[in-house]
Amino acid sequence: MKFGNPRRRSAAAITALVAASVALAACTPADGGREADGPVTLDVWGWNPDEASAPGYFDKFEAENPDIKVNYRFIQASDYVNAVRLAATTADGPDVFGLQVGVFPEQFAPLTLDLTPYLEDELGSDWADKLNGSDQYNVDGKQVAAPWYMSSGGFMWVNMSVADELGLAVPTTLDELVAFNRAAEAIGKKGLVQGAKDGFANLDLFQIVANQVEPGYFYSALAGDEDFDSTEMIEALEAWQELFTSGAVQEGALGMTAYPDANDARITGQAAMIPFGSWQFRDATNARMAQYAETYGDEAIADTVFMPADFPLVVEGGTPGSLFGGPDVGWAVSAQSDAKDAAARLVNWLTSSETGLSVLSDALRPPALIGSSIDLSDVKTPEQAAAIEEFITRGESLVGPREVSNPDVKEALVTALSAVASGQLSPADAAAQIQSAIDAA
Amino acid sequence: MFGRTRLRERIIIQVLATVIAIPFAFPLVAIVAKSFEGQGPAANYLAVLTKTPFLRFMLNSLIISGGTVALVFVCTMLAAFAFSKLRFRGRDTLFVVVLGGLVLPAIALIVPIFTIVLRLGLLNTYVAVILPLAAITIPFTVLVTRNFLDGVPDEILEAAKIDGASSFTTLLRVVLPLAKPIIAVVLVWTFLQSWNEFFLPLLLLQSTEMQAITQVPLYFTSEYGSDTPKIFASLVLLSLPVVVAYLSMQRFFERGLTAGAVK
Amino acid sequence: MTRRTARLGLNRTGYLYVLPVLIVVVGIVYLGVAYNGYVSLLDWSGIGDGQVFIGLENYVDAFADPVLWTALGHVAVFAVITITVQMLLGLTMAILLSGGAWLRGVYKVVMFLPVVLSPAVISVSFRNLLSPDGAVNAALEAVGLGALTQPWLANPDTALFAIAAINIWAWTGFSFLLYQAALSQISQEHIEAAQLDGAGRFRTMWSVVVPQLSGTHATLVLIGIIGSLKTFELVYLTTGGGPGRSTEFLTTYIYKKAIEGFDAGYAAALSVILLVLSLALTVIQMRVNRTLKG
Repeated sequence: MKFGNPRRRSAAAITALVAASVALAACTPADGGREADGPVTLDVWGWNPDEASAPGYFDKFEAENPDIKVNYRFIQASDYVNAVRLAATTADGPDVFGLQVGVFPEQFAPLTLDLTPYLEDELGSDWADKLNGSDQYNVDGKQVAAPWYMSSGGFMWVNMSVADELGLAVPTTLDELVAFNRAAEAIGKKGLVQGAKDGFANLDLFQIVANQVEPGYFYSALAGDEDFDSTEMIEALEAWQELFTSGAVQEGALGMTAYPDANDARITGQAAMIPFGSWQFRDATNARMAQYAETYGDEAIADTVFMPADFPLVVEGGTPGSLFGGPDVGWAVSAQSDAKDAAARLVNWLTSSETGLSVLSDALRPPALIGSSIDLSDVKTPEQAAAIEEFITRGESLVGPREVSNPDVKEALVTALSAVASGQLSPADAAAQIQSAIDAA
Repeated sequence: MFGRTRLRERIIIQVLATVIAIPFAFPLVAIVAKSFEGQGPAANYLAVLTKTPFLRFMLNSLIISGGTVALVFVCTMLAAFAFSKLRFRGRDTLFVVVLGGLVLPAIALIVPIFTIVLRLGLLNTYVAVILPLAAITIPFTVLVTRNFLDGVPDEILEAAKIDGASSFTTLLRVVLPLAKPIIAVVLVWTFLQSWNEFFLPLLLLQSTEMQAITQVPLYFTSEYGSDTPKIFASLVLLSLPVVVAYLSMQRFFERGLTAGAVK
Repeated sequence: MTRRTARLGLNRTGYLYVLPVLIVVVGIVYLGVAYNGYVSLLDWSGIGDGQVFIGLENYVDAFADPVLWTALGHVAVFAVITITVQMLLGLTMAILLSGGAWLRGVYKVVMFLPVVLSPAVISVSFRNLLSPDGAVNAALEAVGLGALTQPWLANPDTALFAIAAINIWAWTGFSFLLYQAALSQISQEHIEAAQLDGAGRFRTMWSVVVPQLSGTHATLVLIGIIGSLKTFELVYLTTGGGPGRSTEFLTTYIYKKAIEGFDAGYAAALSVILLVLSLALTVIQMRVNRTLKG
C-alpha cells in the first residue's frame, strides 16, 4: 500500500480546494476611494439627507467645487451608529459623516477632526456665536462637528382634513383631546397618535409634559441642578401616565413606531395629530404633499393641509408652549481622512455657503447659521406660513436641548417612560430610578 | 403508516391538518396581500426591480452566498469525514471545539470580527462577509454531516482501501456520492443563512455598490414616509431565491436531514 | 451508539482534514470570544482609547443587575413555550400527514416556508399583522373572538407571548421536517406487532412510535435551547425589548449596552455570561441524553 504519495497528494489537493474557494470569492471591486491624480473623492455617510434628497445638496457642491467628487452613502438611522462607529476607525471609512447631538459628540470625539481652525477661517473668530448650537458639538474645547440645521420640538402637527371631517377644532386641553380622539375613533380613525415604541418619541412627548409643569425644570434636573426625584417631576410623570390611561394617546401606542407606523397613519389621514416638531416643516409645502401622494398612492393626500399647532395643555394649571431643541444634524470630519482639507471645505459649504444654505432653505430647514431664513414660497396656505413663522420665532428662545447627553441617564429615562406608560412602574419609583442614574453619571 | 385508513378517518385527518396549517398559511397570504396594496402589484413589483439596485445587490448576494456555500461545503466534507471515519488523537475534543462555534450569534462578535477583517486587509471585500458567515454556519453543518456519515457502513470504505485508494480518493469517489442527501442539506442551509444575512454585509462592506440584497427594502423608506406595500413587495422578491432553492432540493433535503440529525 | 471507526491507517491525515474547519471557526469565533473576554475586563466606551482595566467589576455589576435576571427569565419562558409547542405541533402534523391526507405536498410547503424567511422579513410583517388594526385582530373579530383583540406587542402582559407565537410560526416547520423524516424510518414491523397485540392506534402511537423518535426529541431540545439564547433580531425588530423591559432578552440587552449605551466592557461581560450559559446547558443536555439512553 502506498502511504507517502497519497498523503502528499491529499494535502496538496485539500489546500488547493480551500484556496480556490476563498480565492473565488475574493474578487474585490475597486472601492469608492481616492484616485492618486485628478479630483479628490470624498466618502460622505449620513442618515440625513436620504437617498433621494442627497443629490440636491451634493450635486450643487460638486458644481461649485469641480476638483472634489462626493460619494454619498445613505444608511438608515437605526443602523447608522453601528456602521459609522466601526468604519470611522479605519482609513477606508467615511471622510465626512453626520453626527447627532446628545450622547454622540462626546462618544465620537476621538474619531473626529477638530473643526475649530476651519470654522475660524471661514467665519471669523466669533464663529461659535454665528453657528447656533455649536456648543452642543463642543467636547472639551474640541469642535467635534459643525451644526447643520436646527430643529425644535414641543408642538404637534394636525391633519386638517381629518379635523374638518370631524367638524372639530384643534384641541387645547386634555379633555378636548380625549373627546377629539373618541370622535375620531367613532368614524374608524384615530386622534392623536404617538409612536411609543420609540424612545426618542417618548422623550419628546415627555419633555412637552414636563415643560408644562414647569418650563425648563427637566433640563436643570438632568444637569443635577435640581432634583429629578421631586414633586415637579413626579407630577410630570403622573401626567405622562395619564396620557396613556385617559385615551389621550391611541391604544397600542407602545407597539407602534414613530416612523413609519404613526407617521404613515397621520399622512394617509388615518390619524389626525402627531407630536412632531419643526423637522416636519416641509409638510406644509405643495412639493412635499405631491411626494406623499405618489409614495402612498393616493392623490387625495396632495390636498391635505398639515397645520403646526401647540400641544394641548394636559397639566392642570400648567404652562403650555415651551419649545426645546438644538441642531438636528451636524457634520464631522473623520480623523482618519486623507482628504481633510477637502472634507472641511464640504462641511463649510454645507453649513455656511450661500448655495448650501439655499438648499436648506428650500427644504424648510432653518440653518444653524444665525440670520438665515427659510423659503416659504411653496407653502400651501397663508395660515400655515404664518404658523411656521411663529414657531420659528419662538424657536429662537428654546427652553432646553432636545437630546440627553449621558447614555446611562438616557437609557434610564427611556425605559422608565415606557414602563410608566404601560403601568409597570409608578411615577414615584420612576423618578427615584432616574435620579439614581443622574447621580451615578 | 398504520395501514389502510378508512375514508372517514382520512377526512378527519385532513380537517385536523388543515386546521393546523391555516395559522401558518395566514401570515404568508397577508404578506403577499400587503404587497398588492397601494399602487397595485404591477407597480409595486416593478418599482422594486427598477427603482432600487435590486439586480446589482442580487448579484452581490449571489457572490457572497456562493462563496460561503463553497467554503462551507469544502470545509464541512473534509472535517465531517475525518470526524466520522478517521482516527486520530484528540478527535472528539476537536469536534466539541468546532461545535462550540454554534452558541454565539454573529452580532455578539461584530467588533472582533471587524478588527480581524481589518487587520487582514480584507475590509470591503466579499471575503470579509464570507469568512464570518462560514464560521457560524460550519458547526451546524459539520454536526449533521458527521452524524449522517456515521450511518454509512465502514465496509464500503474498507473495500475501497483494499483496492488501494487513499483516504482522499475514498472521500471523493465513494463517500461523496453516497452523501448526496446531506450535501443537499448543507448547500441549502448555508445558502439560506448567507442570503438572509443583514448585519454582516451592512457593516463590513463600505461601498454602496457592494451591498447585499437585504438592503433593498430600505430604499422605500425615506423622508417622504415609507411605502409599506413596496417594502413588502421587496421582501417577497428577496425571499424568492431561497424558496426556489428549498423547493428544488426538497426531496434530497428531507432525506438528508433525517439521518443527519436523528442520532 | 458505538461508532466503529474505519482505520485507514494514516493517523496524521485526520488533522489535515479538520484543519480548514479549525482555522475558520477558531480563527473567527474563538478569537472573537477571547477578544470579548479581554474587553469584559475593561471600562471602555468601545470607541477610541481610554480603556481602563477594572478586572471582574463588570461581572460583579452584571450579577447584581436586575435586568440581567429579568432577561434570563424571559429567555427561559420563551424557550419552554416555543420548544414544547413547536415539537408538539411539528410531531402532530407529521403524524397526521403520514396518515394518508390529500395534497400532502401543499401542507409541507406551507409548514416549511416560514423557516426559509429571514428574521427581518418576519419581524416587519408581524409588527404590522399584530398591530391593533392588524390582520390578526381582524381575523379574531371575523370568527367572533373580538373580545380577545389586543395591542399584542404593546401590552407588557402579552408581548412576550406574542413574540413566542411568532417564533412558533417561524420554526415549527423545522420540527415538522425532522419528525416527518424520522417517522418514515420507523420500521413497519414494530407497528404491526403492536397492532397485532390489539393496541389501538393512539396507544400504538404513544408507546411505540413516540419513544422511537427520542433522537429527534433530543436534537430539537438542544437546538431549541441554543436557538432561544441566540434569538435577537426577532425581539429587537418587533418590540425592541419593550414596553419597558417586558420583553428584554439577554441578546437585546447586550446590543443596547454596546451600541446605545457605549458601554463595551459591560456588554462584553454579558456576552461572556451568555456564552458560558450556552455551553453549560449544552453539556448538561448531552449528559442527560447519554444517561437516558442507558
